[in-house]
Amino acid sequence: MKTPDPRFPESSRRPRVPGPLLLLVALLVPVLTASCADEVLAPGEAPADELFERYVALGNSITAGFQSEGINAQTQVEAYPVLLAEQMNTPFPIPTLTSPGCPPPVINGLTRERLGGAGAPQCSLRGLPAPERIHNLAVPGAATLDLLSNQGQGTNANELTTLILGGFTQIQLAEALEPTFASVWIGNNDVLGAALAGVATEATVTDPAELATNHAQVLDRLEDAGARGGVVIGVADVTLVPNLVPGAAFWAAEAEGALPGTFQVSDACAPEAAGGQGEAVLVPFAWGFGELLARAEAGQEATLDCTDETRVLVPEEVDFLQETVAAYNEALAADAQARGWAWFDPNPLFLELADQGLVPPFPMVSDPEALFGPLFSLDGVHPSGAAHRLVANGVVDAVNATYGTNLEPVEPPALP
Amino acid sequence: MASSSHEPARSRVTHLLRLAVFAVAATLLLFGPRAGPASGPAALSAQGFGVYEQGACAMARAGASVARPCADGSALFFNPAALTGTGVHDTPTGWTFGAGGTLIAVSGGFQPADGAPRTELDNDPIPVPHFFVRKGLGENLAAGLGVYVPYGLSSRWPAEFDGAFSGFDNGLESIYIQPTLAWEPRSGLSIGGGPVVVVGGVELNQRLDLSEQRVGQGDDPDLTFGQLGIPRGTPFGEVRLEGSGATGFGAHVGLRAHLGDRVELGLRYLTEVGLDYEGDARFTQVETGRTLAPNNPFGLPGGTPLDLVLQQAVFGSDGLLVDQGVTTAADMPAQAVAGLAVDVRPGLTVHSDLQWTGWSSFDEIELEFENPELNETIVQNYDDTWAIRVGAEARVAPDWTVSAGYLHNTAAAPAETVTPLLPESDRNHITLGAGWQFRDGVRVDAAYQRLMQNDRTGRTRSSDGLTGGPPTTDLNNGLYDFGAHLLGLSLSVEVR
Repeated sequence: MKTPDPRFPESSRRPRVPGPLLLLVALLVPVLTASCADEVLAPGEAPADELFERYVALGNSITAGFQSEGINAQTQVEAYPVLLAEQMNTPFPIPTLTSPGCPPPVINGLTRERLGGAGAPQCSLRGLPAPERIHNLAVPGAATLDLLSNQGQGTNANELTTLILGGFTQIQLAEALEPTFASVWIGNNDVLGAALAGVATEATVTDPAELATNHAQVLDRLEDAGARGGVVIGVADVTLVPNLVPGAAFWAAEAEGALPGTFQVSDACAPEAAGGQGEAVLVPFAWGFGELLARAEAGQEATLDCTDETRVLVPEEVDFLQETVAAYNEALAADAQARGWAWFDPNPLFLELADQGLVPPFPMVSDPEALFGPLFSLDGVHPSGAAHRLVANGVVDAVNATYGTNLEPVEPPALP
Repeated sequence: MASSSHEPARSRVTHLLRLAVFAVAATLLLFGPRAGPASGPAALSAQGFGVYEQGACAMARAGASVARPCADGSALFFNPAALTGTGVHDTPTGWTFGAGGTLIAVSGGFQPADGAPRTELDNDPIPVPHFFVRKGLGENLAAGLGVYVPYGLSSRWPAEFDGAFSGFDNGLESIYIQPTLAWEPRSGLSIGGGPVVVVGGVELNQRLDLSEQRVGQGDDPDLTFGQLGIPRGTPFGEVRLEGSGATGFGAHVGLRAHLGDRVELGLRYLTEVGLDYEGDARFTQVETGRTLAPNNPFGLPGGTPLDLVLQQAVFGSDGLLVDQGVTTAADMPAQAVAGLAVDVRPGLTVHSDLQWTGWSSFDEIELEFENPELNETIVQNYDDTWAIRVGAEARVAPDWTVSAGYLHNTAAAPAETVTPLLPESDRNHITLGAGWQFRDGVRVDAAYQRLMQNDRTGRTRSSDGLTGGPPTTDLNNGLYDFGAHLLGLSLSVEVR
């Protein structure tokens, strides 16, 4: 028989809830209802296709976003890989360079004044905080070999090499990112230096076989690092850039009295119809304007000689450069096709745009802020932001055709 | 005192004392070489880095024990006043030995907001011991000694984790030693308290980010490696900060009152204790594997290994990062608890506690090195926290009790300082357990506790590098999740 607990007399055994317990329940109800409140991350947007989960871009100044002899955050975000990444809906951190730039871009094509003025530093270094990873690995000045090595003969490391890559090579950083997709646009600098110097020989360009070997090694390593696909962009025909001015254009300018009286243009620069070879001779801007025109404007005698193989590209050199680029592209296209990668040759696009009159044959000296037209920046070599949009759309088409993806085109630029 | 034994009384006491010694020894063995005051356990299971599991019996009822602590000596922590009076220790002149520990197995991780791979916490199960002894000194007086760890922290992350730049293997323990006297001035009202001596140790292992390091050359004294192309998150060294033997003093007081036959009230207050740590900072170089290209902005020859430059310039005998002394300080927060115990019906008691902890005292950690250039202030800006604990204990057989409980606590870390050091959020816990008095005066309790923390956005870095500035949620870059399973075991021996 149970002994009654003195603390619980019979009268208190009625089913009665003590007051403190009621208070406790009252306190607990709001606690319980509010206690499970997980915070959540904003749902990440999925890439346009799993193929684009991690996209990296390798290349040179064009891919880096170099324009008008300079580069800064503004020019960097206009570059085609940034536009592509936006269409892919994939993260694409870039190595932002602080304004006014490194170096600051030219803002006047004739005076060569740079952004920030004469007192601006030559290089304003990287912006902070520097991202942990960058996906645009391109370095201005890089040739094909530079993707594999920063050291040794034939490489072209400059200050930006360290500022962008921080002591590694493009391919090393790409491998570390384990990309699912890559774009590679390299090879322009394997011929461009020769073109701009006006001396195009086998000794001043990269041998096509060597370029193909290095390029293939880059793609091999990207695939080994996990790339399931990519796009190879063909080497640009450097003879199409408006920095290289046809000799005939100088001849016509002289005939129209547009050049100073002390500026002489040789008969060899005349068009073929006038007994010269001027249409087929290309005069680097640095020589025709930077040297000769400046000398003439200073009152000194200056003569443009369209047979001077050390200063201008004579027809044989132009042919050699075009054949070299064609050889490069033949090898790169074959390799891309063999791997199942997309291939985009930019040269038909630029030829078509030139045919439309969008690339002036002679610098538009009346408009120093658009010296080379809407498609080229003020150095006459690097594409403008508008041209990057057109390139991006060309790449979009090539990628969609190869992989069956549905990347949307970039909004095309407003062109005259 | 009833006894089922036919042994002479003295022999039985000797046997029980042996059992008590065994209990302490078993605790130390059970909870391994890291356990015990000398080696310092570390854990976090209450708000902030508080540890509230100071006895399996109380743990089983969610720690709600201030009004009527368990009879295992843990009253030294849960309410010093309860060492005397009725309802807890009913042995006016006897001894009570209690010892045990809690094994805390945590899990959790960090999911970066940018979709990068998740990082998992790398903690091993963490043991937290406690030991209490209580001696009745008469009908209304008792004394005791407690050794427990109310504050402890262990967070271990992979060294490759971005949060390793805040700390990847961090520990803090504060061992409280508390002699206590309790007195019942009149029937149904008891008070108690005593000084606490706190012995603390701290360890912080941190990776050093080269991108945040000043170059120390050129015209700009603030020029960093990051501006020269070294990406954020480039480890070039590690520092191990270790301080031990910090001693602080405080007090712990309690009050307990019977409000009628069925309700008891308890209050306790543990003061804030400041600890000043002195220790060593040991630096080791981590290879970056980077080689400078020609024409680099450092003005060094192409092909120069960056690690060689750093070894000579930074880690060399004249460099900034040489082993040296370091000091820091931390305040262990005050605690105030009020609670009720209600006998709902015979054999069933409901306990409830409301707890305040003064975490706002933990506002920043100042690290002062021998070389003041390295001095660093880690801003925490913690908030005071509240916890509500509810538990019920039922006697289901003469020798058996079962308990269950629930507790909720708010987070100490504000939204802008949720870091790898303490990726904290509001927490909910459920508990259950059982106690078995397997022979007269000898009781074993076991408890299980599931800690469920709300997921919370936070960041991987304690600061934003050299730019300084106040903490801001703008730096939050991902989501922390955290949870734990806790297993408590206590043995108590009462010698009448």
